[in-house]
Amino acid sequence: MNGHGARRRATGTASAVQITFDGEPLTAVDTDTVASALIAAGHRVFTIDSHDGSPRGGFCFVGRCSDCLMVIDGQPGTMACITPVRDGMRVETQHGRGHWGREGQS
Amino acid sequence: MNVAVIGAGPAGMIAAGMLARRGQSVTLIDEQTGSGGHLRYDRYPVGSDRHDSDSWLTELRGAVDSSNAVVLLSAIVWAAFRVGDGFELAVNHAGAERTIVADHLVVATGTTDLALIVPGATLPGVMTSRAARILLNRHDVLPGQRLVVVGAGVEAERLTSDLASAGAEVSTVTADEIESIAGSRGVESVHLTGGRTVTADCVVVARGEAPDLQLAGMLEAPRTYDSSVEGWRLAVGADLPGLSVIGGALLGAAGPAHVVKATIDTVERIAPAGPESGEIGLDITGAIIRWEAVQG
Repeated sequence: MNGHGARRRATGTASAVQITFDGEPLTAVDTDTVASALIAAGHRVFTIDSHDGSPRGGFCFVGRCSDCLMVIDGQPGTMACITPVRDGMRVETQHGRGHWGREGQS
Repeated sequence: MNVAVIGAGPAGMIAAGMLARRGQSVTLIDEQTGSGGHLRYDRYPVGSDRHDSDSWLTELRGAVDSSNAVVLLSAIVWAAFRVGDGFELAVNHAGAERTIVADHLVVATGTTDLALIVPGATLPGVMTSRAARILLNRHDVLPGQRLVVVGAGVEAERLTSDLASAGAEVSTVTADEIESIAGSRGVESVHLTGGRTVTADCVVVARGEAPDLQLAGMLEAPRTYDSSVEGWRLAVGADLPGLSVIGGALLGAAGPAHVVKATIDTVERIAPAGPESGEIGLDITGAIIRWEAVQG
């Protein structure tokens, strides 16, 4: 947690999806994007900027601004805001341009 | 004629449905996982007949689905080129690269929210009004507990009210009142003029919106800077062979009724009325009346 007050208000009829964030298990719902799942769980740093090392956490949430680029299933530069979660997905904070994971190169 | 419509918001959906019904071979492309554009996260009643953005979205999807238009979702058009008399689009579709060829291009890329340019504006927790709406309305996630909404228009008022109703503590300030936003790993406080400081964990920028003309610009559509919206607009009377710009990308935040009317006008120019011109699979007149009602 980063001490901010984001929270999920209700899950409705959505069912649970298990992902990992930086190696830690995280429960999302099947209607989530990666970005909404992280925000709901209290995480808001998605990317460390390549120029000045500043944290970024998503600004537009519609696939426009590139402030939410993460390493998702080994593929860097993936927009967390328009990527739906799925069971077993591995989500990692991206540092700068990020690095390809083994599964991302296949 | 092959027509590619880029952007599956209301304008793109109306254009795709109408053009397909007039015998054109239409591909409707959007980077999101579902069609509808802002209707997927806006929530408001439209008119006195209790129509709302959900039912409007259902109508539009029905109109597109019952036409022959092909809908391509999770598809990012990351470049567009003129080739001969037509166009080639570089598209990343669900992670795979492909090229889409079109004789005519309809750009329905909508609008972009204006940013806030102050120190600290890149901190996690600073987001656009549509980002806050997506979290709240699509995901039932309140983006913070103590929010500052920045703006002075209708959207800032609506958003402040919606977030407060959802249980957040919200204060509203104008962009001119903000001197800086502070925090280490995200928003912690907002410094205002006159030495005031507000504790906050989220700043929502609701200053307005400008046409999104990145793709049209890539095709060298002539643009002029409009300082009143802090953004570019398509130059009036621009000659754009094979290219049509519609909806919010053309008009900015002009209002849905104008968007619908202008879109129908554009379709009439691309594919003039034929024997079946009256059939568009959608109650456009009723829709315009409802849209006008929400404009007040």
